[in-house]
Amino acid sequence: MNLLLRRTEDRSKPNRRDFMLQSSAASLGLTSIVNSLAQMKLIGSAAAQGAGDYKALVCFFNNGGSDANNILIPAGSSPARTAYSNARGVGVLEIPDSSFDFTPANAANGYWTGSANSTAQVSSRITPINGGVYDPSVNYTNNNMALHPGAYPLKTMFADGDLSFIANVGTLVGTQAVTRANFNTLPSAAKPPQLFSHSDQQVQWQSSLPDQPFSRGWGGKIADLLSGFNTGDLSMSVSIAGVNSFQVSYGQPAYFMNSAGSVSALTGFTGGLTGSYGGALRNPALQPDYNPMGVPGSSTKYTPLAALRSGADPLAGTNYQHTSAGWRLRAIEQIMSMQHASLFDEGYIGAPESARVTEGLVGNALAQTLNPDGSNTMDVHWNNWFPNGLFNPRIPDVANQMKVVARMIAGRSQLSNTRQIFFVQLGGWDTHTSQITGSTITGQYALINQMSRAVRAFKDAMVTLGMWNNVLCFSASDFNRTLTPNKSDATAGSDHAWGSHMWIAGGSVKGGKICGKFPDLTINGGIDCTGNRGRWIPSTSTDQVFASVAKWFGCNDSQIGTVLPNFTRFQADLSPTTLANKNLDFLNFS
Amino acid sequence: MLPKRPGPYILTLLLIVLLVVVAWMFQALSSPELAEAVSRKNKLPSTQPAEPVIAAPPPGGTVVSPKYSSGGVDFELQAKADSLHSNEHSPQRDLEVVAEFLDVYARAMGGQPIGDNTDITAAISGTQYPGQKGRVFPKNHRSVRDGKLVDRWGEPLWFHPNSGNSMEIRSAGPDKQLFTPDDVILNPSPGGYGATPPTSGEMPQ
Repeated sequence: MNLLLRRTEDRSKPNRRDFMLQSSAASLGLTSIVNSLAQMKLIGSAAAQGAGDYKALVCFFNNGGSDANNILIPAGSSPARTAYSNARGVGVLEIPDSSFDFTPANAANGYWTGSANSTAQVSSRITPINGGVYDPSVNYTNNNMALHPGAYPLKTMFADGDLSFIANVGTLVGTQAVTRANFNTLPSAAKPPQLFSHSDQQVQWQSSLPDQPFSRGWGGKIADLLSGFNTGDLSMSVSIAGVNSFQVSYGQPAYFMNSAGSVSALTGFTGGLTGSYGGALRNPALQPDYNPMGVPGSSTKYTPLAALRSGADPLAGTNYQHTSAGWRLRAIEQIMSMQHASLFDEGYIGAPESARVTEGLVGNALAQTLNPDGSNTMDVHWNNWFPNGLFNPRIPDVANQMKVVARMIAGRSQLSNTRQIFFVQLGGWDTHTSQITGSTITGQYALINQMSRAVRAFKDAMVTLGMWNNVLCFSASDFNRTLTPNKSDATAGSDHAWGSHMWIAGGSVKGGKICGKFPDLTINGGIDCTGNRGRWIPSTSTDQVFASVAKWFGCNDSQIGTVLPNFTRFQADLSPTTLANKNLDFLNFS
Repeated sequence: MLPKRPGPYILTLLLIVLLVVVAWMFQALSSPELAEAVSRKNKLPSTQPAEPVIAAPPPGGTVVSPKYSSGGVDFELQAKADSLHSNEHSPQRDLEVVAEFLDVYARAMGGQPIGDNTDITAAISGTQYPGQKGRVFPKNHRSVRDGKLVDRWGEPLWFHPNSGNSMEIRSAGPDKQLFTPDDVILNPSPGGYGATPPTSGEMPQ
């Protein structure tokens, strides 16, 4: 009562006592939250003690809406092939059946055989090991399928059992079944908002929560939940392609890198665990006590003048080396460690310190694969799959993004993280015009080829490192594209659609399958959501696919409910029986 | 002079005042005069676009009510639609007018119409399905051919949704060929989207 009713004057202006009371109350609330988070981290750390494993998740996002109708293609002779050809248009968007068996035009377009670059004929035809299971009706595809010729490197992975496709996946709300008959009349809340819109669908794929305002990506949620697996200073989430929704989290903000992998290791310090700069920085035994006239060897560890007079190393006993780099670091930290009265100032100086810590860590990790001449030990795999300067004069950016991911995984021992989530991105998929150019280095062919070569090079790198079983890489995109073209000539492209095919690769993948259900390619009917463009109502929700991924990464059932709140609207659980019934058994969880 | 512990007395007094205020507010808000005044205030001035028509016209296509035009929409919306392709303004203005219709629809329905030209035209003209509500564009308008909104050269407009509130609208221009230099464009897409070339070298040349 005394708090509320006092004989004070103007109650609209809080006095000092009011301020103290209110801010104390607020800080009590904040403190408890912070403490809880800290406790969760400790609990997680304890839980992770026995894990001792490592897993990396790589989201390969095809920005702009990838035309998956031309990535996983009915081949040969089947009702599906007929529907495909008729709708795409011969000479317009159709990939001719004859083009699946092809001879690279020259060495620059050749493919690595494991020992040499070859221009011998190859085939992008595939034979899924689960033929008949994924068909929407009996013998619809006759299990006669092919990948786009430019996806030949993915075909090799499919054939080796390292990659599977999941057909017709898309954003869904799940409160009511969507059909062509009810598509236009369903309440808007029963459908993902703003279908066919780039930014909305990108966010929805990356949050897998279309019916709620965006707050976190599903990758970011996993990072929040599993942060206890990691003991290092670097965030679990690393993006090589800038800001994205997938990795947005509460407590694990993504670390952004560029594709050059040019972060240099911080030098000039010593001490700390495994050469960690952050460890050295926070090692109290190595922190300097500034006392310019102190006596060397006394309790004051940093005694520059006295040490210099006596000819001793003035930085002896500190976390700095007596080198120019060490002195620079010391100078920076002296400046940054100044005490500030303002909480904002104090918070601000924490940001550059954190940046230095992570920069040093990442530099150390990348240094593990760095050669003295500036090249790196991963280059060989990318040179194999991008021969003779394919896409001259540079290996395309997305390939370098994947190389940085490989180097980060190779240098994982420096990071003390046993879970990492990476984000890479390839843009240019919004192929409204000139989708088929007749060239292998422009248009959709180039995009598919860049993606496929980069993923195959990444696989080779992981196999060399012995980490292929510990990584999972999956594709995602804004949406699929219309099966019908938007023009009738060679300058045609395709427009925005819905359900799409995605690939998933890794040593834990049950490869060689087409999972989910391949779409009935009927235009103006079937699962064409409305109109006559061939925009498939998804048969598998993003939640169903990502739930399996989350489980593989280490989430338990209750955590999957947090990561993907709508999951159970589509699927009861992730039991072997359920997954088999849904044809979504594409991962070994162990 | 205040008693030694005035808290309970003051609290009681505050509660009584609160009850009186609440009772007065209930009475004031339920008065018909106030409701009428609010309704008058909420009416848009005549220079503003009218609110979209939420109710569908009666079956049969003939609009009886004088509230609606022959196209089944508010007269102001009809006039706006009729201004399309006018020689008195530019082709760019045509696209702005179309964008205004999308905006009116979005305000009425909670979001922009989705899909391509056919879907969008059907959505704003209330012909997507029988009994559809929310018509903001007149039915059977001369600017609609084969179910698609066309430009003044008779070619279908091209819609490219970049986000829920940003739609590129493109006319093929005098040469009637989309994606050529004479195209007329409203809200061009960012680099790498739609027909806008990428700004950074994502695509190898």
